[in-house]
Amino acid sequence: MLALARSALALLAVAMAAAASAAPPSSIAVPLPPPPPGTSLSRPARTILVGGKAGIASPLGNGGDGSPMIEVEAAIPWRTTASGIALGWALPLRTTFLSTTKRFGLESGGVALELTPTARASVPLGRSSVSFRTEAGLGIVNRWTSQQVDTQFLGRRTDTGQSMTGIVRMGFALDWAVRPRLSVALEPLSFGFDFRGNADWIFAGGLTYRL
Amino acid sequence: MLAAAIAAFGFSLPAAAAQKMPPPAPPRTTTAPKSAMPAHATPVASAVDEPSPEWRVGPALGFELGLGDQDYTAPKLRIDAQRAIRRVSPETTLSFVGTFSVTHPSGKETVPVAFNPFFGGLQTAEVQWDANVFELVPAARVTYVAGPKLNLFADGGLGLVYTAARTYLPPIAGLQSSELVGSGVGGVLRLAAGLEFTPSPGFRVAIQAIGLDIRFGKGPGSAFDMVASVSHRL
Repeated sequence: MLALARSALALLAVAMAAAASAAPPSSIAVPLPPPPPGTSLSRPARTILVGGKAGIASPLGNGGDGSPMIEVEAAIPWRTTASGIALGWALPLRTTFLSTTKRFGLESGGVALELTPTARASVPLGRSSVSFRTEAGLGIVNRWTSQQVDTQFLGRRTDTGQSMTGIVRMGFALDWAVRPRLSVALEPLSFGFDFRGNADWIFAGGLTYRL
Repeated sequence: MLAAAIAAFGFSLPAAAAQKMPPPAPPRTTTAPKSAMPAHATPVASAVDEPSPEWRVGPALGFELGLGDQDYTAPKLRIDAQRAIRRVSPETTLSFVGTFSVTHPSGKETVPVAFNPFFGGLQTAEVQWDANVFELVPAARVTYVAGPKLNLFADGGLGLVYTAARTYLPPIAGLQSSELVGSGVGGVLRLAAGLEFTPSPGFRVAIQAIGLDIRFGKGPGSAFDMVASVSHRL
């Protein structure tokens, strides 16, 4: 009986030893050494172009007289196709000071603010530092207007109004890289068509700086 | 065996290569069906004939002339995206062309608005109207090779037109001036023809000599247009 108990105890000890040897070792975290200097995986800063332009916005059709326009913008390059077209995105903010216009003897004027996200495509002209750019965008324009109104027995009064609508803008431009970071932009044709029947043609020029 | 197979497909080997080939085996007498491909339409030739599947995108600028009562001349801007689909014949290619265009027709109309009871006659007013016409037209283009760098093309497409218009009514007959704004959606059938000049493989200049936009639904009516465009291979 004692021998039987001793044998069972020995078998149990052997089984426990086997189980202990079969158990996976506890994982030990080995810290990685720091990367050598200059080999970090951080992405380089994205190129951003900022610019400012000024020009004249002339309404098409029965819109009235030309108005001064000021524009600031930020643009980022997207990609360059295999055929050499540089694609990019831009966010121009335009302010147009609608000049005083007489219509049937009644004056009207105002201010317009336009924000138009725009897609751009540029093609270098030969080996020169000039590139031809075409762009198209869809945005919004808000106009604050004032208009004289004839009032019977009282003469004239000035009414003010505000309207917001969508606008489609398409244009052509030339960019001349005078310095590695500085470009002169000439935008002779930029046409805007809004969803209230207004259209304008902007002739503008300015500078673009690469940050 | 190999030379015979190549010869069966219409290829011709150089003389030196042909000399190194073993003599052709006698023809088998099996009754295998002949290939449906004609002798001159080799696989290599058909691969060369296929137009390169690439997009050409570019802007266009032109003008539009209203037809009928809509007597106007308006600037027109357009963006074209073209992709060759298949070659119909050795000189003719079928392409897809998607166009998005914007036009701004405008005009003035003198209309009688009231009868003058004191002096007689009709009192008239000049009504001014402006409209922005947005068109999205997918079309098929058939291009015919007229020269090494010159093609002729004809377009036919059916699309949508959205018109946003405003009308300015002057103050008259005791009424205040007013500006009416409206919009409408319609369809447009576009037929056009012109020529393409390709000075380099990547760059192309096209002149649409004549185009007819037949519009139906709410819009400014039908019009002729002429457009010049530049496009570049993407």
